[in-house]
Amino acid sequence: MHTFSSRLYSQYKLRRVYYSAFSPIPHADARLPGKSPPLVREHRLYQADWLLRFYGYQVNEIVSDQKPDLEIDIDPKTSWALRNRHFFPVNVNTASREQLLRIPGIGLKSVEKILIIRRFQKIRFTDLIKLHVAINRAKHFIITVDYHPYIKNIDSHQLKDHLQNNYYQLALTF
Amino acid sequence: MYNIYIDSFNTWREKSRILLRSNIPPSQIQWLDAAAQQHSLFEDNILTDSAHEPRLIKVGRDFMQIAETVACHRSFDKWSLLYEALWRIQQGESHLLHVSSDLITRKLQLMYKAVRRDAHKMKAFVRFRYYKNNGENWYIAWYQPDHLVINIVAPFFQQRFNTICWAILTPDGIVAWNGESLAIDETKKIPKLELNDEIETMWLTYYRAIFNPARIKLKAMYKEMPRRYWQTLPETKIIPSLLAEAPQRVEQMLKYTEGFSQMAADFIPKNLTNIDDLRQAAKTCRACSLHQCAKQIVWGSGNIQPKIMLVGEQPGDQEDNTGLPFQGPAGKLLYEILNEAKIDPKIIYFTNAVKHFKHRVIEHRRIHVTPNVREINACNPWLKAEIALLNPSIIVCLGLTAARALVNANFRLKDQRGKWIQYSSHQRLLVTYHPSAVLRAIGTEKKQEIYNALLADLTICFNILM
Repeated sequence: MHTFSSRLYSQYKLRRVYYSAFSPIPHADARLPGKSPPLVREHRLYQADWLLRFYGYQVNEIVSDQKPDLEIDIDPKTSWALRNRHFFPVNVNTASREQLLRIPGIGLKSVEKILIIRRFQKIRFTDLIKLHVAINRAKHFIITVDYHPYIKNIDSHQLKDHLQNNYYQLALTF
Repeated sequence: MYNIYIDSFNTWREKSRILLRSNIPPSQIQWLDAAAQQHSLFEDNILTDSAHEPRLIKVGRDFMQIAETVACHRSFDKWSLLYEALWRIQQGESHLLHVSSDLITRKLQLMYKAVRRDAHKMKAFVRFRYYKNNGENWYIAWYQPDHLVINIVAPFFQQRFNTICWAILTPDGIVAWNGESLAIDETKKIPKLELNDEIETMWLTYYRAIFNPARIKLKAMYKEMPRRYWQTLPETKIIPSLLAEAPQRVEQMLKYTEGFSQMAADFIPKNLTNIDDLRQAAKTCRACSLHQCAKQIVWGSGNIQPKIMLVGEQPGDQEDNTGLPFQGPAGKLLYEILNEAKIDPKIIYFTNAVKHFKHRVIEHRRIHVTPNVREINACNPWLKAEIALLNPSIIVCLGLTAARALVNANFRLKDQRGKWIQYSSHQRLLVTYHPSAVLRAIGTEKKQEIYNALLADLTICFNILM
């Protein structure tokens, strides 16, 4: 599906593609499923779509023939990060815009703010907290002036569990 | 400690200018509400701008833009925050507003955002009611904004409702447009007003009708339409009842489905190699309800390595009895025409788009009923499987039902009869009349016309094979 929307964006110059999960309708055809799928599926589609439109991801970095579906338990950006651990940790003070955009938990607006702040002062861990980035997710993947993650952590098999727990906590306040 | 009394953005601006010139740091200032106190006696004299040569105070345009908006925030902290930011900018931190991680900047950004959001919400949530006043038509609304945004929003309403007379009454003042001029009176404060009109019932009926019980997202709703705005929105009165009955409505929805839950595809065995296996499997088909009233399935017959496949509509009374296609009056006519066209029926495979006889019983006679799109679709996989196994080079659809099954659901006989259609890379398809059309036609002239067309189309098919 994202291969298709990626083509719509690149070849047909569409500005926006919308996704809608199935929801029951009156007088529905009997072959349709009776229940709506979990909303998080639709949410994942939009997350992946945003990565294509604003974060400079290529569609084959998100889904590929070997991995045709998005994960339901972690977001597509974190999923990419876990599959490309050699890319991390990223130094928030020196990384390029493109690199910053790939850090899980740091969004487009935060990246813009970081780039501006960087012109005037070094970025510390507390600055990121004040910017309200999703620090519990981001902390595994970044270096700041006063913070360095455990290098072992980035290669740990348990990293995904940490990030998953974060997701479920976030989902409660969603 | 200096007590500074403020009643508007302009007084804050003037007094801040004087304070900065006198180099008074934020920590020494207490900002007070001019409206709330008898202040004139206590005002500090130092603020009468005693400096001999006034120093020019300069600040960037971006600060002024943010300050003007933040000044509309309802909290009184805004004045001290703005002065502190201004002070720090003057002290050399000219980039302060760009450092979003700074506490002051963050607070100002949040205030700025809150005001912008509230102005946006006011544009969406004001509900006008119709009133007649001295023969004039007026639209009146009462609204309670979170922040002091009526000045920001007024021009929007002026443009949007330029040709009618309207007034928005709020606890912060009144905005009115009489068709010619905009009046904003911040002294007339309307703390609460109940309004009503007859359009409201129509609006509620409409809202009830567009409410989709199957797509309820409570959190998104409360986020986009916060509760504090609900008092002026009439539709919020019915939202609780709509939410309460939603699960029941969805259940009803799910109960009444249309069509068939299964497709013939569910009954087709995998890895088919010959037509007899397919024929055996078809006997168990329950994809649509037609098997209930028909005696038996009527499967295709004829040459199983055919050059031509003829696809009819559905079996009739006699076919249902014998289990073979094209046995009734229409079938007899078809053989006559084939004979006249000099086509040997032995090279043909005959079959139908729908494999069971659909009929209704009137006075002990079984009367043919045309199968509907759902039945055609349900049966379609059998026909497709037949074509795939027998691989004819020419497919002839007799009548609309067969054409709808193999070409598309909107097929029109009038436009496309007798024209070749590419069915697959090596198979061509032609649609012509069903022989029963000849029998049903009224008047010999019409009968002859259809007969000739049918004959001509079948002759074309035969000629192409030669």
